[in-house]
Amino acid sequence: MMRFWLYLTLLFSSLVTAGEVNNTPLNSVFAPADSEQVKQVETFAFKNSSEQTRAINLARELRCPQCLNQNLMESNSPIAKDLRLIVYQMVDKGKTNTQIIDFMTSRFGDFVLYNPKFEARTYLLWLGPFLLLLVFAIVGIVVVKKAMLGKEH
Amino acid sequence: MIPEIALFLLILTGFFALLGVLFPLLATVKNSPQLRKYTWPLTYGAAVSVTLSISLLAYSFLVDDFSVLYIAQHSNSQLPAFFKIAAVWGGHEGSLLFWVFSLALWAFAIAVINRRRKGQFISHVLVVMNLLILAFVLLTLFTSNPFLRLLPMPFEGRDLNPMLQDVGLIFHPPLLYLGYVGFSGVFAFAAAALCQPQSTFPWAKQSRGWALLAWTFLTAGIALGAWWAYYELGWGGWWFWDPVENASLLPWLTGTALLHSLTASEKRHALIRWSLLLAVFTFCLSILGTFVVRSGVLTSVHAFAVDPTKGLLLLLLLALCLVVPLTLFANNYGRFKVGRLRSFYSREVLFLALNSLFAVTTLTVLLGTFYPMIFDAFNLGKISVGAPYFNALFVPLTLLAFLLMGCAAFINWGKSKLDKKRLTGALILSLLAALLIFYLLTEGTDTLVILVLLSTSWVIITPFFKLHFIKRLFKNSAMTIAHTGIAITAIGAALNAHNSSEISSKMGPGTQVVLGELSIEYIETQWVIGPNYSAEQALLFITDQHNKDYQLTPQRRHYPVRVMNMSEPAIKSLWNKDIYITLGEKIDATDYAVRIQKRAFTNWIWLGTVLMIIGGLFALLKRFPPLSRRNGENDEQ
Repeated sequence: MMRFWLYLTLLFSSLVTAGEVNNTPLNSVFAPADSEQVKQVETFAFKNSSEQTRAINLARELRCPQCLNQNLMESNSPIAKDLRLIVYQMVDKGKTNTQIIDFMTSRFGDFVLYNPKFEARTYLLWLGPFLLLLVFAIVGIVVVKKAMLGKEH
Repeated sequence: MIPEIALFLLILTGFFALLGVLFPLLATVKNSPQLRKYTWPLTYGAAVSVTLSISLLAYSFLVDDFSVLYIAQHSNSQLPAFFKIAAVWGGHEGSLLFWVFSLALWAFAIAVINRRRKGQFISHVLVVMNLLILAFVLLTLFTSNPFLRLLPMPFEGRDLNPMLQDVGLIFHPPLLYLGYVGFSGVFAFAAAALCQPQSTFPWAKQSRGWALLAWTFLTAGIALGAWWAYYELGWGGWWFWDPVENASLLPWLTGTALLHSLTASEKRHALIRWSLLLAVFTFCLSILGTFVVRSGVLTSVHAFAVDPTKGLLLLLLLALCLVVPLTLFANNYGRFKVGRLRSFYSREVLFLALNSLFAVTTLTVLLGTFYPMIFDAFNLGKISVGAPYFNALFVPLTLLAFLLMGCAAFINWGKSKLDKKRLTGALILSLLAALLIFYLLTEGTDTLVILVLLSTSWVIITPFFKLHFIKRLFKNSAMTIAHTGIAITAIGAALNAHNSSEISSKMGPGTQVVLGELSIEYIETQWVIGPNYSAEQALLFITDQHNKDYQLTPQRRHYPVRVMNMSEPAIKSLWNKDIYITLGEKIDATDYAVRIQKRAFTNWIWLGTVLMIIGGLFALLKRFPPLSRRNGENDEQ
């Protein structure tokens, strides 16, 4: 019942405000974002388009540490926006991708990297596919050779 | 009363399925064809009762019966009627019921098509189908009953998740499920074939049609999901390598290999073991996909329900579906002999290579998807595996597959001599085509784009260099259309990744920004009242280099029942690019953060998938008339 009244009130208030002069904010629901971060990150002015591309691509490769499974570009959570701003600012200061990635992993661990590092514990991950390709190729060749010799197999 | 009738009908479905398992098995033991005949009406009975059951649930949604817990959680009296229907499969309980429904539909279809072949083999296929129906009915009844009542009855429902209130989402899950579940038919044929004492019978021929139909549904389901993610989520991406997306890609990969393998088995009695195993694995991967979505073991933006018990039962089912057929396979390994290979240059070898390639690709996606989970389970720490990894490995494997696909034009079944003239011609022409596309459509250079263009041109051009191309135009049409489709999707994907650009800017009435050749002007902010939401909408004018004007109206919507804000992007779709505008957060009283993206060649991605679906339908079309003619003959078993 409460929900219904809330709904009605909201609908009514939006109807009322819709008719008003369009300079005033609609209602509390669409209030301006009070965080300065949002403003900075959404309207970040890059020096040039190549820097912008680098920053966006880098932000896409970093995982938002709090979200389910979203990168810094996609997520709307405050922490993702904060981190995105940090990436933008570091790119703007001329930091290299490695420096930015090192900074991020030192704070949040390897979890934030969508592109896992090539190291002992990820050998299987990176080399596994090549190993599989090799195994399938060898077995395939052996099977074909046998099938060409024998009558049936 | 109606939800109770629906529940009763679901239980009835389970009983029909149970009898549908017992009768044919008893018939086999007693060797009684009379008893076997009951399998068919029992299968029909299961399909009819579950159809009625799900229809009654839909009816309860339409009349807003919020005394049903599931409806109270997923609907609202203000929700438009077609979204109420979509809400039937919008939540966990309903989607499991939909699984049962599609399983029963496939069983029904198999029974009807083979109604004149009342032999042991088809009855065993139906046993497997009915077993699966029974398992899923039990799963639905005991862990996720959609007909549970809620007391006291709430006055209003919680509404469907606004993200799911979309045309794409009405059709995406049913198509995907029909695809997933469709492979159960092929699985049943393979499992029945494994139980059969003799080995030479046309199971490959009989199951290929079902594989084609399931593959077409799955392709359409995945494509629709990607399309929905593209225009609804507001990020401008269409594939995110999220675990749930990967879970749907896995059966698609093995299913595609299965289609090819079954052709070899049907036509040349080759790759029989491959076909059997692929049929088993494809359905198991479909169950795995459902498990991933339903259990929440993998962190995903799409994980809808996090409930370990439901996941455990699905995992048990998966283990059974995997272990039983594989044991049968291992026991009867020697029985599935294949003929002698006559030449290395034969389509049999080509398809073996293709199967291997698809197997490696599937295992790679599987490895990448589950590596973080295994990693965590062994306490090695938390890592993430995302788009960069998958792109780095998936793309080269795809290029290799394209290379093989083109070769199909020059290599025939049995034995073939390489026609060097045609081969050189095709090579030169595809090189020229790639250069032309590159020159006309691409900005800047990128090795990967060049490689994709080269290999896809090879796929598109080679069919024209086939021997007797005109004479066999119709015969080869399905394959040519589907192959052209995947090539066009690949071109679209490569150029989309490479040619796109974007700009984020603070905009309000009167401001203007420039992105490449586009000039975007913010005219005014408008207010919109929808059926169950209210929205702020920006009116933007876009002018391109030819002075053409477009009007776009991105929105920020508020759904009061769930207290959710959603950004609804506006898209102008052109042949070579989409102008994609998202209204971001409000920065001050009049201005928003507006994100303007130029997404290159998105339409090519969709066009390619449509061609793949048409290719699948074409292959089915060629198949079904002779199939119905064959029904005239009596039982082949």
